[in-house]
Amino acid sequence: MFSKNSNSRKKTRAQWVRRWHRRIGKISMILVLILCITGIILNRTDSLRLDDNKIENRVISKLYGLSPTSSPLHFKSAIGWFSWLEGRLYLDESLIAQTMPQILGTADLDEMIITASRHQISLFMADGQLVEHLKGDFLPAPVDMIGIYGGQKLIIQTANGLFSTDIQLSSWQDFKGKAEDIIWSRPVSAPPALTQSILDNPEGLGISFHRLLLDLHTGRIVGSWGPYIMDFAALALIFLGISGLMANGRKSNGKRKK
Amino acid sequence: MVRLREILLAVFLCAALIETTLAQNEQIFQSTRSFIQEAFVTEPGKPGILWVDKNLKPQVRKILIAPPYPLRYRYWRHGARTAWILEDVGKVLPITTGIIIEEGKILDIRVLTYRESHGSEVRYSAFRKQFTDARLTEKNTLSKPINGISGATLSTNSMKRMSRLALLLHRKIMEKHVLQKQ
Repeated sequence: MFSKNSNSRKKTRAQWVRRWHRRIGKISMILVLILCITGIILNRTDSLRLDDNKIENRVISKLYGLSPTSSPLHFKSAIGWFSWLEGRLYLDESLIAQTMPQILGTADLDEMIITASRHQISLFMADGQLVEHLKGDFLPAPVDMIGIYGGQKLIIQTANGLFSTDIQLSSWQDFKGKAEDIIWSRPVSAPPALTQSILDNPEGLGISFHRLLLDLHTGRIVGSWGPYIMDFAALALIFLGISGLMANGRKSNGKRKK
Repeated sequence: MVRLREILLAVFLCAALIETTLAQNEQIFQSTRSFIQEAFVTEPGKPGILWVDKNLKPQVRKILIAPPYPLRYRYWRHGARTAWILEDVGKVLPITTGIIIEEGKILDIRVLTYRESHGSEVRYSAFRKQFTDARLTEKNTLSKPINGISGATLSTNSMKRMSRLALLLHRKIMEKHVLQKQ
C-alpha cells in the first residue's frame, strides 16, 4: 500500500517536472537565446571592436528615449542658429553635442560661441567643435542669463549679482560697467524649416554596439523592469537545467529497472 | 501553485521597489575645490590650460572612442604632480572624475559626481585602488588590468578611459615643462 502511494506520488511529481520544464522552456526560449547570444558576443568586445561601431536608428533612439517630445529652443549667434532639444545641441542642422542641460542663451566672443545653462558654461569653436564644459566650482553661482558687454566681455547674471570674464574663462570678477549696455541672449523664433529638420533627425550621435548588446543582455533596453525579465530568463535557465536532469534521471532509472 | 505565483510576484515587486528607491539622479561625492585642495594640501590656484593639438588629437580620440572630444583641458600642477577633473559618459550621462598623477603613475582616482542610475559602485575605494600606480603603456593602455564590476561595466570602462586620458595629458604637460626648462 505504502509503495503504491509512494510510486504514484513520484509519478505525479515527474509529470509536474516535465510539464513545467516544457512550459518554462517555451516561455523563456527567446529570452534565454538573447541572454546566451549577447553573452557570447560581449565576451569578444575587444576583438570585435564593439565599442568603435555605432548604430543610428529611429527605433533604437526611441527605446533609449532619444526621440524628442517637445520643440527645440533656438538662439541666434553670429555663426548661425544654436538649437537645444532635450539634451541635444545643434548648430544650424548639425548635432554638435549630447547630454547638454537646457541652455539659457548664447554669446559670441573672439570667434567662439559660449552657451550657458543653469550649472554649465560650454565653449564651442565657430565650426561647432567643443572646446570645453565648465561647471561646479568653475562658475561663481548658478546662471540666470548670459550676455555680452562691449563686444569683449562675457557677462552672467546670477542670484549673487553680475559677473564678467574673458575668453579664457579662468576667473570671474564682479561686473562694474553699465548693466543697461549688456546685450542679453534670449530664445527667439527660428525658421520653421530648421525646427522641422531638427525634429525629423533625432537619432543623435548613435549608440555603440557594445552598449546596445549589454543593454539587451541585462534587459535594461526596455527600462528599469528589463533586468527582472532577464533575471527570470536566468532563473528559467537554472530551472531548465535542474528539471532536465531530474526528468532524464528518472527516465534512466526506469530503463535500468526494465 | 497559486501560492508560488503570489510569492514570486511579491519578490519581483519588492525588488522593483528597492531599485526605484535606490535609483537617484545626480550624486555629488566631492567638490572640485575640495579634491584639488586634498591633492596639493593647499588652496587651489588658477588652473593651467592644455590645448589638444594636432599630435594629441588622434590619441585623445582613440582613448575616448565617442564624442565629445574637448579641445582644451584644465589642470593643476605642483612639481611632478598633476590633478585633472575629467568627464566621460558612462551609459547615458557624464561621470565627473578627479585624477591625481605623479611621475607618470596614478596616485588617486575619485568619482566626484555620478549621474547615472546604475553603476555608482565605481566610487568605492576597493575598485578605485586597482588604478593606483597604473602607468600608460606605449599603446596608451593601462599598465595593469582593472577588474570590472558586474552591473557597472559601462561606468568601469568610462573610468578606464578617463584614467588613460589623464595619464596621456600628464605626459604631455611634463614634456612641455621639460622643454620650457631647457
